Amino acid sequence: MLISKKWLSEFVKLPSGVSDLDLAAKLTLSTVEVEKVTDQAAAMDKMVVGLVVACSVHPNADRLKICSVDVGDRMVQIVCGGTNVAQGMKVAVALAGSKVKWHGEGDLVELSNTKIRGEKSEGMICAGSEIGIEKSGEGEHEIMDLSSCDFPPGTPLAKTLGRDDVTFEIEHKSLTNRPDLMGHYGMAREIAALYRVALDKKEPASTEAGSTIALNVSISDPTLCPRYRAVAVDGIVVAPSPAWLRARLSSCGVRSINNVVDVTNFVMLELGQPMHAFDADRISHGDAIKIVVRSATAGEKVSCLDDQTYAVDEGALLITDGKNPIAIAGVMGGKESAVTNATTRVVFESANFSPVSVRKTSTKLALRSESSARFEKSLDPAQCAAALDRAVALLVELCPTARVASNVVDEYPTPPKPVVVELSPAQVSALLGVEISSDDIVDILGRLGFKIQYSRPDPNAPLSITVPSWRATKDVSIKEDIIEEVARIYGYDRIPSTLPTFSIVPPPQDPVRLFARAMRKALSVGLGATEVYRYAYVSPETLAKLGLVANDHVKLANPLAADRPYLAQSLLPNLLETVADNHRAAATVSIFEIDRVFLKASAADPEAFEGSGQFDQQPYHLAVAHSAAGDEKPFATVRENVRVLLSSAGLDVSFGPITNPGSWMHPGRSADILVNGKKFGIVAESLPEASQSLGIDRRVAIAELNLSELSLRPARLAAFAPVPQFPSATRDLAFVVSDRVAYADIEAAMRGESKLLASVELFDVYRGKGVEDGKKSVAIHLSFSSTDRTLSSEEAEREVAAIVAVLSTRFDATMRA
Amino acid sequence: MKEQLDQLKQFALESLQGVTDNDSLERLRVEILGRKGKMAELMKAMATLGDEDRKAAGAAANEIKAAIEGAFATVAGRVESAARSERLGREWIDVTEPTIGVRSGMGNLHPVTQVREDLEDLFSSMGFIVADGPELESEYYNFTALNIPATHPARDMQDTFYIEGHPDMVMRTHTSPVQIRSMQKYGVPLRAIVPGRCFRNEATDVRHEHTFHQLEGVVIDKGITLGHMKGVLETVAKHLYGSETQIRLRPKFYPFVEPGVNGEVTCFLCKGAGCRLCKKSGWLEVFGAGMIHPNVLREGGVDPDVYSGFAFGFGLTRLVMLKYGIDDIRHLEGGDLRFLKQF
Repeated sequence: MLISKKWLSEFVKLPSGVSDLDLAAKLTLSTVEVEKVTDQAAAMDKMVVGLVVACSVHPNADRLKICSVDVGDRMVQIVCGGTNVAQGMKVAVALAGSKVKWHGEGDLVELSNTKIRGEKSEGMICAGSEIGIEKSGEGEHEIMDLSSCDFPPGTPLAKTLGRDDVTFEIEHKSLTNRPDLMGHYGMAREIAALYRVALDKKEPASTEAGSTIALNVSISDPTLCPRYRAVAVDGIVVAPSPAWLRARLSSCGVRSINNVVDVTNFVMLELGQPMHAFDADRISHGDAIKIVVRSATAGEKVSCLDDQTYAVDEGALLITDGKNPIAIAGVMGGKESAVTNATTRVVFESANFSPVSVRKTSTKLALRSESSARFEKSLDPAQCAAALDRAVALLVELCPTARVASNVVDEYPTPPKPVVVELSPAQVSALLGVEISSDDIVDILGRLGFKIQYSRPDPNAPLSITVPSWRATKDVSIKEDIIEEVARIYGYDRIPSTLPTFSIVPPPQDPVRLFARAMRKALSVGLGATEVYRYAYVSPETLAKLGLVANDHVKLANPLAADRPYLAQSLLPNLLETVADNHRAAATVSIFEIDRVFLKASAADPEAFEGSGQFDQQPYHLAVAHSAAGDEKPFATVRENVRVLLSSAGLDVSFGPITNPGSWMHPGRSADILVNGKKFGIVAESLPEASQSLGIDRRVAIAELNLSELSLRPARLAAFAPVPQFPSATRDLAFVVSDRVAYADIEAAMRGESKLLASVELFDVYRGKGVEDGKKSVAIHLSFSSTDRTLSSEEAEREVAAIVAVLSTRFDATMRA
Repeated sequence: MKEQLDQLKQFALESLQGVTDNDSLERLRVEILGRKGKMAELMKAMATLGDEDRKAAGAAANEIKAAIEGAFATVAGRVESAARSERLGREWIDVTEPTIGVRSGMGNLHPVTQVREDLEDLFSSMGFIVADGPELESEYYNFTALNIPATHPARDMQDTFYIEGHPDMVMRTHTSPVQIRSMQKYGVPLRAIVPGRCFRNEATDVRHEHTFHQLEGVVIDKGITLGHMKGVLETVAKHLYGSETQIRLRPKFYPFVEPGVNGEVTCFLCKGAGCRLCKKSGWLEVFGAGMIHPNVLREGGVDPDVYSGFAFGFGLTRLVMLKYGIDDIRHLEGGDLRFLKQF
């Protein structure tokens, strides 16, 4: 929202020495954020009105003219390409040092004295678009004609064009709870309070009723329309607005239409009250005008000012002429009843509508207006009267033949009761942490328009505070709201910083967070994987490529992009996409993600995820993916990483044949991840065709674990065993077995056979030349020891023999020499 | 005799000068000090002398022999030291050559993780609980309990992801629901932070993401004041940006706090002088905060007439972008290793 300094100055005079930037800073720190301060005149620095004294054709260019221009204090020569430039014309001259937009396009360019085709040129005669005035009336290749202005040559252009204002751009969201600031008067009221200066209220005279038109208003539901004030005016001649009014609107970014419409916009910008003018002849029945404010019935349509026809929802609030809609209340006026050049009689509406209703309707129709933006913030119904009076008075001023033709209707069935808040000065200090005296509180609130009753001699006496009507619509209703008023005016910078004191109690820890943190560190620093963050949403295409069923997933009602409507049940699909995105640029892609996934039941019942206190329908998963160019066994890398990872957390991890293979998993290269024999996840290579469908042309392995569940597993407490006192005996064993004999089974069999076997270490597996097809050669270091003696060579041989025997009988193993 | 001994010494010292390796040293040793060497010859000749002369010559011979042996020892040391240097020199390796075939153990933590863990550590050290909550959240916790009525614009479809078939469920739009959950779970007094992922239904571009990260904080006890809030936030600001950092509060409306403020810190780049980063203001907006609204305390089961508290929220994503000068927010959730490997 733009606020004009000139407009403000009609209501409030700032103390001397307060600059525009000071004001912006003060507002920002105490009230609303000022995003930008724009000095309109600065953009027209070194631009003046010039009088073309002589004008001749350029000797070296047919389309250019050489002009002698009076710029007040001197004559300058300017080469000009404008087709309409002529002797005696007043023009906009940009002198050296000013900044213009060349041909109205691109960045600003600083002018300097130059020569054009050999002729001296000391500036530029400008078109409107070249100096930032979009609609200045001239045609293509023409310059702006200022001949009709009364200003002599040399007058600053900003002054001539009424562009000598300063505007303050107020950040829109910071006005959310301050509907009272959505006009210049309200902003001036706030500024007067901030600087302790007087506010010139300029209350307009009450409108005197007329008698030629009988105006009648009825409201079907006062909760949707608490107040409707209206009056009819006739004798109007619709005409362009005077320059001062156009300049005012323009400074706030509002386009001038005609005097009647401009009056409604002017009042809105000044008082914050949206107004509407109906053409009385389009809504009257003879000399009687009836306005009925009612809710829409099913299927009603309204043609609006923007030439669109809107099908409004049943229940949306409409202004009707008793039968047909003539406006969507608070959002936009109807086309049929709009003011035109032929209009002679209007009905001014100054009403108050329910913020919820206006917002709902404008959101539903995707139709936002200056009016709806104000109503949806809860306007003060009290301001309807002044706004109507101001509109009538201004119209009469602009159009002297206009006069009030009807009674002044004011349907206002239940004016709101004043909001009164009880507050003691001690409560202010208790919440803010600084002593503010009763007198200071009373002073601050008084400046802001609050009325206070209290017994003066007692500094701690409770204050009975009546909230001014313009603050009572939503923002201020409880004592904390009042304390905020005191704090912001007193100054947040004056409240001392202190630290609270607490008893020394170690905070409870979240096991999932601690576990996740340890996993992150081990994976990144230890195992060389890089952490990625991915969206919580997955696409049905990716699910389909992996053979996963989308219907099982929780679905967004309003996904941002239709391609990702599902909540991830697994981190796998997005992680594989990430491998696909990266694998061409990176020889090795080793990544992991820790995030929540969303199981089907997570949406079914709000309590479903609260039962265990762990949100077990939204568990954290950990997923690791690994793929490297030329690596034919990424599975081994991932499996080993998982082993190190979980072992580092003190968990007894092992791997077993996959029990429930996923559709995307390589059947021969997938395993369950077991902790103490219970499944907590999987490690698998993805099927070649699944990888390929995602665009990955090499092997990828993935592990995915339920981190939330894992974090609750108790870590194994290391138990001390005496350091061996006696040397161990080591033997190597090499044998050939069927390729499909699982190593885990081999080791288990050996350990089951020998009590003295202390450690088993696989050091070679070989398939190929020299080993029969379908078989593998396995080589193992064995280490035997005893806690009470040095083993004799015979004892070690006996153990080895027993192991060899069991390998032969159980696995049909053949020993190698 | 004396003359011959002196000549031998002279010969030995001169010959040793040119010796650089062990082999020549040994040969020389045999020639002079060996059993059939020059010294032995002289000793043999000595036996032919008379008693008096033999005694004098013997003493001289021992002296000369000791001198020659000393010279040999010195040269042996010199030769050994040169050989060792030569041997070590041959063992040179290129210390700058990357190790081939061994995977580097140093991966990368996501920059948001790094900043988040840093703040978790700071708050943990001040006794704060690091709390967590669901991302798929009920409308009650996300809105109603936070004093955001059903008619509030924040509830519009354009800002919030809703769940199909479950109109009362949303993807949480902020970490604030965990304020209420923490009050209910841990009671008061309470000190907690909530780092977490949040979701807003808005189109992505350089500055907007529908998925981002916040760090929420809440402190509740008897007698908690806005001054305490300033103190805690100042501590955080100094931790993040150095001990000279100041904070500045401005009024800002949030439904769940009253008074509500917007918090800025001294721009770390220009130290408050004004630069491009802070748009010449000298201040960077990094948090929102306020005294917890009595309605919110009530929803958390806390009596606002007895307890008061403050809450604050940092945009973790924003902190990360400021810290590293990241100019496109989409990098953070994008999974591009060329980006992630920088941190």
